[in-house]
Amino acid sequence: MPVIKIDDVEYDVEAGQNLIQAATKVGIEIPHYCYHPGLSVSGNCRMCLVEVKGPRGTMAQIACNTPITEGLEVVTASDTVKKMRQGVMEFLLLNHPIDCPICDQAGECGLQDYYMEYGLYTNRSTVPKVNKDKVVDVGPLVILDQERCILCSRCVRFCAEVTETHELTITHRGEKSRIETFPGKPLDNAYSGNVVDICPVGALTSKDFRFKKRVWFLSTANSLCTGCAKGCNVYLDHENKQTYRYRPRFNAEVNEWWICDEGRLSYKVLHHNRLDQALIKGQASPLDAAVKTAADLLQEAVQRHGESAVLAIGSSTASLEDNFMLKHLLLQGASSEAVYAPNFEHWGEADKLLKEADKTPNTAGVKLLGIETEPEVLTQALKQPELKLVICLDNDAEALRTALADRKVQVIYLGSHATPLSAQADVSLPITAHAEHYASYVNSAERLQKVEQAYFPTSEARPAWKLISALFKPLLTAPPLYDDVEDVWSLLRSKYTPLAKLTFYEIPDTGLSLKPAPETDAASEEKALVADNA
Amino acid sequence: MKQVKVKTIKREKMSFWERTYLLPIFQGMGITFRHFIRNLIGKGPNISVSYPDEKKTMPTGYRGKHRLTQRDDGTVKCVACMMCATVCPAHCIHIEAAEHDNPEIEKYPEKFEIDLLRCVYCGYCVEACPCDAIRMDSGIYTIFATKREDFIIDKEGLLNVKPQDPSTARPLQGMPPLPGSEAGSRDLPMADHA
Ligand code: SF4
Ligand code: SF4
Ligand code: SF4
Ligand code: SF4
Ligand code: FES
Repeated sequence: MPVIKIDDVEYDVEAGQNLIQAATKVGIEIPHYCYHPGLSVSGNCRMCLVEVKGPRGTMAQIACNTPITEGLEVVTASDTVKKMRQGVMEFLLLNHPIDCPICDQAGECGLQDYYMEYGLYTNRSTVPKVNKDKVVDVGPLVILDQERCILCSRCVRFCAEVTETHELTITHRGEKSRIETFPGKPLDNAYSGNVVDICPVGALTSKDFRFKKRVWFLSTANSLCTGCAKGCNVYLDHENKQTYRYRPRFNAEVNEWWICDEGRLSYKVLHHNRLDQALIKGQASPLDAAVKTAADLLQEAVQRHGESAVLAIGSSTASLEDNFMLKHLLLQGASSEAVYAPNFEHWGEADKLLKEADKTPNTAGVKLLGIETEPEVLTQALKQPELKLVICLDNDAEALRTALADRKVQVIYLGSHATPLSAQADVSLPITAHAEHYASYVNSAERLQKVEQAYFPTSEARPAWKLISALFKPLLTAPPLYDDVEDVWSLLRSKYTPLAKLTFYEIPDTGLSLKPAPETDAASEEKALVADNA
Repeated sequence: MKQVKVKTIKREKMSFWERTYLLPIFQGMGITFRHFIRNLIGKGPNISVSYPDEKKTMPTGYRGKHRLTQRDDGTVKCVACMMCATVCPAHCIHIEAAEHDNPEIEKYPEKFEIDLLRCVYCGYCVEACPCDAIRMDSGIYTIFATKREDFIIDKEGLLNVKPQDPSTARPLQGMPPLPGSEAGSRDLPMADHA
């Protein structure tokens, strides 16, 4: 590995990267705007200027376009470098409006950050600023402010290189240059929201998030998009038990820097049409009473009619823990293995970038647990005459309701959202959604990933695995106490080999591949790092 | 241990008349009546204010009830940047932002409420405001209501509060342009940044 010298300190770095990347890895920040690790190098903002020692003396050079070579010597902390950054800032801000009070980027803006560090703090310009268009509606998700743009071209490169849809371009020349869309062709691709994240300033902002919150009020939890089986990693930004937005969270193995627009807006399901109280035959009831009623129904069905009287329907929208608990306790409490988790109607379009056709986050997890996912098998099973009671976990579909309607069976429904089935069921119990619990999901590439609890539920909702264990309590001779997700995991890891030796809190933030042959898998970054250091 | 210096102060002995307590009482009453009569005939300094018939003019800089300043056309000057809500130690400012019709203004508060009961009258909100949109120069020091909810003053209420003395109120600064104003007028004196 090449040895380079940054500010007179030698570092052993990986070849094949540029100076910004190498410096970041050893903890030295080189300010930059136009460079983005997911895009080609453009080298137009000049913010990353550093001094590089060469045969002809020390020269100013842009770090984003400086590949790592053996013996590279760089100065990033000199007065000259500071002055260069100051000069670049002065140019970038020459025509920049003082919009911070009304700019949604304020608080996470590259200009603000570096201005505090390298700003000139006085204005030497005597000519009026060039005015361009503000509040330009460029697409369904994005608003453009041409004045705030620093013409770094990240957004242009994103549309050219990642989505290959080429909607954005730079028009005009000199100080009149601006970002524009082509006439009649809005920024309307399936990934357009990402330009908001990569724009280092407030030129491209999200229509959905517009003026909703100042970003410094938000707290962030590591979460997952539950919009499809890809399981893109996201930051979930929330305040006061309300989720305001998703931002992509880098994961080299899953979504890299991006998420799709559908997923970006899917946070809304967290607040839309939630089942926020327990129902007994459609009537609101206290949670404890409803759990008791449901447990009694279950006990009666099992004790009176035997194990074949009960059937459980899991769901690939529910977490690994929830489905596991359903399967495990059904076997323990009712000696039945009748667990099914078909995905009836959550299907959509797939594309070559991220989107998957399976619009549920945990199909692979359900399969890992050995739960049947064929809809046909379930509809057949529902026809069995002995059947008396169905426990349904967050799974509602037209087909399922029709199959149930033909039968006189009791239904205990556990769901996060109010659905027709939750209204019909004998007992409906509210469960938490992914922002409100710690849980894990397995994505389509068999990667085990976890979500962090961002906040406590606004309603009486409880994690489904807790409610399920409460339901089965009367049926178990020695009911174990499940209080923490780790308690569920102590069982989970003993039953499934791919999960052996794992504990919930040890799952890395970027997940863990459950596929065999882990040595070829750079999955857990920690592991890779350890290997690197060794 | 450090030596402590002890200085003994002798208590002054009271004189005979002082010990009777009678003379000092009459002396005190004398002063009281002198002021009373002088004020009664209108010759004294008369420092009490006949509130509520008469109200005191507060010194400049006194932090009274808040007001929201207005643009020339009477609309709210605040741009809902939330600086005041961020800095407020009492968390008593609640703002909901909305899109303004004029793209030059872009953002304005659809809702702006201050809970005057929670407010500690620190004046931080005034200091934090980048647009000179909130001020406490109304001179109003009597804030009363009969219900808790009535202490929450809304945007209309705040816009209707008048400065104590319009002539001494600082001129508005950094006024964003009005609809239809000419391009370039956005470069205001406050735009003193690189
Ligand atoms: S882009 Fe940054 S510096 Fe410019 S107005 Fe927005 S927050 Fe302020
Ligand atoms: S809009 Fe943003 S990302 Fe695009 S060129 Fe301008 S500053 Fe860069
Ligand atoms: S005066 Fe102080 S406490 Fe009152 S609203 Fe302003 S910042 Fe808040
Ligand atoms: S700081 Fe000023 S402009 Fe900003 S929200 Fe408060 S009153 Fe409005
Ligand atoms: S980051 Fe290197 S020139 Fe912009």
